[in-house]
Amino acid sequence: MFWEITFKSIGFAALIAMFGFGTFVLTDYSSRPAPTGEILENLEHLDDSQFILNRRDNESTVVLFYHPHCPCTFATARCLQRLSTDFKTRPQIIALAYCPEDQPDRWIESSTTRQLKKIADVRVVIDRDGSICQQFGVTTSGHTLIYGPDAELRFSGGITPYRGHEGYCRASTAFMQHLNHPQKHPTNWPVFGCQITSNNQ
Amino acid sequence: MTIMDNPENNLNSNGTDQLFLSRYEKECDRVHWFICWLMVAQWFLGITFAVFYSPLTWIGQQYEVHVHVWAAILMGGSFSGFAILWLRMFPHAAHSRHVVAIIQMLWSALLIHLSGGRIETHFHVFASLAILSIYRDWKIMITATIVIALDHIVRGIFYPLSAFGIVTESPYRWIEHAAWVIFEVSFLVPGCIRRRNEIRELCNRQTEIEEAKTNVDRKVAERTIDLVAANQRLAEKTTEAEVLALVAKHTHNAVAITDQNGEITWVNDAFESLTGYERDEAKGLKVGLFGRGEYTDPETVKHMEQQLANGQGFDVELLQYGKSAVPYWSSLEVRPICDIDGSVTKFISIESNISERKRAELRLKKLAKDHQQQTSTLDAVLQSIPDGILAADENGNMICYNQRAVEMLGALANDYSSSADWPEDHGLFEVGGTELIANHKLPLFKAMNGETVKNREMIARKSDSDILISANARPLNSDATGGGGVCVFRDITKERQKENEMRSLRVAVDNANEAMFTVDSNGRFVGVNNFACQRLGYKRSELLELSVTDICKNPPFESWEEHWNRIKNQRNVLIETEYTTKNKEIVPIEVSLVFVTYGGSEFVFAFARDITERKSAETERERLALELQSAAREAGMAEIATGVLHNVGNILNSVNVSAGVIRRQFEQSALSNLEKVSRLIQDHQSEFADFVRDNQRGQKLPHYIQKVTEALCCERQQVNEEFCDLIKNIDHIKEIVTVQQSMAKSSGLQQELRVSDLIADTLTASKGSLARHGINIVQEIEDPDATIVSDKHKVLQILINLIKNAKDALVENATQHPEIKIKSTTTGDRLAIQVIDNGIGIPTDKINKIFQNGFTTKHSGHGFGLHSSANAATELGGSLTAASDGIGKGARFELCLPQKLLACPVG
Repeated sequence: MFWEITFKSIGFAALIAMFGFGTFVLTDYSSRPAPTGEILENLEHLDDSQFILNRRDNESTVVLFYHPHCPCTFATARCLQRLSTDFKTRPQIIALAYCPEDQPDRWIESSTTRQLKKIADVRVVIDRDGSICQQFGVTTSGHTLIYGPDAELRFSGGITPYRGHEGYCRASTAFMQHLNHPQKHPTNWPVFGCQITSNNQ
Repeated sequence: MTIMDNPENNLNSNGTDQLFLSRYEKECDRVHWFICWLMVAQWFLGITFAVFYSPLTWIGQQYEVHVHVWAAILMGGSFSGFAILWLRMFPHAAHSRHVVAIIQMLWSALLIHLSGGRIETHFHVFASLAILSIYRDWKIMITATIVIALDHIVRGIFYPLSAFGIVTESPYRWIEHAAWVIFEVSFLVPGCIRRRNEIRELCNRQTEIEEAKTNVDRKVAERTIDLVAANQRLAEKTTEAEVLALVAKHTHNAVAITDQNGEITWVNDAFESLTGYERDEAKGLKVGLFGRGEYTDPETVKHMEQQLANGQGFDVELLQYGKSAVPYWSSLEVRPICDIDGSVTKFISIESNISERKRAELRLKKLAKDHQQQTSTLDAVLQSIPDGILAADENGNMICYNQRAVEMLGALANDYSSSADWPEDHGLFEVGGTELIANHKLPLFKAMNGETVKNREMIARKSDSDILISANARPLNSDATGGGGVCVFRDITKERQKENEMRSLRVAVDNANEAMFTVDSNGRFVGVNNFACQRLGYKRSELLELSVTDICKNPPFESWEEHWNRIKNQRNVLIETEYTTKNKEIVPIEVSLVFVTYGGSEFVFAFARDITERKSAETERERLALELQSAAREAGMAEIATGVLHNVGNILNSVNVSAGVIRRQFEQSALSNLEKVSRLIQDHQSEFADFVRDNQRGQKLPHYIQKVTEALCCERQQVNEEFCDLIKNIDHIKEIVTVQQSMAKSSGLQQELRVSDLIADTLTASKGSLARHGINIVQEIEDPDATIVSDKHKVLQILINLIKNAKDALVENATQHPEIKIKSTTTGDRLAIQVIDNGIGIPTDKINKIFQNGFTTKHSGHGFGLHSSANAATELGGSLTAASDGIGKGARFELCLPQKLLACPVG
């Protein structure tokens, strides 16, 4: 009986400890935002932006940077798809897919890319070796930017509540407000996702 | 009465509970097994989720395993492992099911988290509740509900995105989730209770059925016990009947079943084989009586008939005849079979062919008789052989001995029956020793211990003398393993004495001063003594390679074969010859040859005496003899004259008798009567015819002349006979004289003489005196035709002398019934004539002097007759011996002569 009680106690304690530790680790992992850098303020400052973005006048431009193989960004794609149904305008959505220099174009083919391609008005552009990403100052996959018709930055950050978790959140609400109701004041939000480029790049 | 009050119901309730608990535990075991596999599957599912949704985390081109994968592996593994381990340790405990419910809900929470709070993943909660309902334990539903509610409460408050996928969710949204869970649980719990009750009801029914079945089985068992017993008895009887049927069918004995009258109704195969009757033919035959025949014992048949008539069984052995009339000996056993009332309903007959046994009995009887005869023969042999025999078994018990053993060993064989009883003073000593032989060293005991003893010599010391015995003993078993022994004793005292004598004789022969030879039929030496070797100068081995003719250069015979035959016939021959030594020295020898047969072979022992000195002496003696010859001649002549006179005197007695007879015959002759007749005829010469016719005397004259003539004829015959005897005696005298003359010059005439003629001539010569003294002559001639080759007159001289002496002895003794018996026998090549009288006999002290010259026991004797007769017998190659039992007991003289002519008469 003693050993049974002891075993049960140890078992339950181990179970709870494992559950708590796991929950802590997972929560920390999911809720820890990625660091962000100096984001490009105006698209006009971008070299060859017209060529790259093919921006249409009088429309907001949504630029999503992602790593094709980042699993967390798939939630961003899902969120974007769900949010796109509530768009009152037709913003130009450009998804810049990171592709290493030495990899072929098909390297970007992934579930996230396929999910993004399903969204209307989304154009996927290959970002060779993250060069465009560097021009925008973006380092984290899932980092989403909204530039107003005047090419000014309106929204910067992730549109998922936590890493890899899709769903509604204040960032996604702000994202929708900036698109449906353009505002002058830009807002910044935490980004949850993988790092697009390495530090040595 | 309530259900609970009923003890049977209580019993049922307990049984139901136990059955339900048992079945539920088995059900839980199956569900536990399913849950274990579910845990494993969920673990793989979680890993699959993580790998599928977020396998890697990237930094540019670099990537690493996503933390969700690690969370799925580690946390999921800990959940599943914990649950599996718990179920293994407490498979039948209720808390195990609660642990499963908790783990399952945690798995739902983990999966929801790993899937990023996807609403679809929440279905896992409901699926898990449905899975948990398999346990049919509504309590774990509550536990699961509480756990998932708490999870959603905590995460909804502190981490709503983890639970609901959004961060803007209401803090009470968990209530909605919990409500849906409760909604499902509210259906699952009644379902669990209902199914649990159904199972319990089924258990109750099953318990009742089992109890009913138990009762039925018990009753059936109780009722079938008797049936089983009956079946068992029936099976035993059936088995017994089958066995009996097999026995009856396959037995070699003829089995027959009859009715109450003894008439056969059934027979087996062996009956058909034994009797020759088919089954149908045998039906109706009278058991035991159908096979009687010529030699069947009628008494036995009568006995069988009586027993059958009385309804009684019998056991008989009789000579039966089969269908083919071939007789065989049968052992018949008939038993009546009675019904319940004791009435005989049938008979069973068992018959076997015992011809072989009968023949065996006859053989056994003959063997027993033979054995008895052999035993008797063996016993007779044992008792008749000169050796003593003892036989004992392995315990020393005496099982066989003969009288000779008792004689040699005294009381040993009789008084002691076992080895333990053998006395220490058994009287057997070592040869030359003074101490008794220990029992274990005795030959019989050694034989009992498996040893074989040969020629063991011992001294058997008896009260009166010691005897030397030689013992041979051997075990009774041929493999020398003991098992008793037999010992044969032989008294070798005399053998040893003879052997010693032979050794002494051998030593004497080897050291004798005469050469001795042993010669075989080929003339070869097979044995010589030391003196012969020394004298001849040869080694023994050299001499044994020579023959007689090698050393005897001038043998006294023409051929060895002739000489051998002569020795063989005469048995003992004395010859003189010469032998030549190795140094070519010629030595004169006198050889005494003795013929012997030994061991189936013929030998001659030759004793050669060196007569060199004797020869020299003989030469000297011859010289002296010549000198003495003249003197001897005179003496000899006187002796011859004496002999002649004696013999002639004996004959003259017969001549005198014959002359007396003739003179008396002439004095009493009928011639005077003839003179009377002549004178009467002369007186009546003129009237002789008338005288003869008319005169009474004249009429008797012819008859008287006839009588006178007959008397004269008779006288003439008697005178003639006497004259013949007289002439014979005179011839005899003449021959004696002639012989005596020839004795001085040469040997007598040798002729073949019939024994019967010799005896007749002797009696004729002596018949006058014998008749005068009324002496009865008895002749016993074994072979009247037997002949001898000898000097007739010498033989007659001897025999007449012996008859005369016998007559004198009878006359001197005045024997009342004087009788002389002349007996002739032939032994080998010698003829013996005995003259036996019942006269005065010869004194014992004088019997040895009877043949000496001048010795006589008669008043008127000269002591020359027997002397000359003995000399004559010797001259004839024979001998004359005398025997008498003393004065008044008669005497017996035996003249023994060789039947064949001697080659060289002695003398």
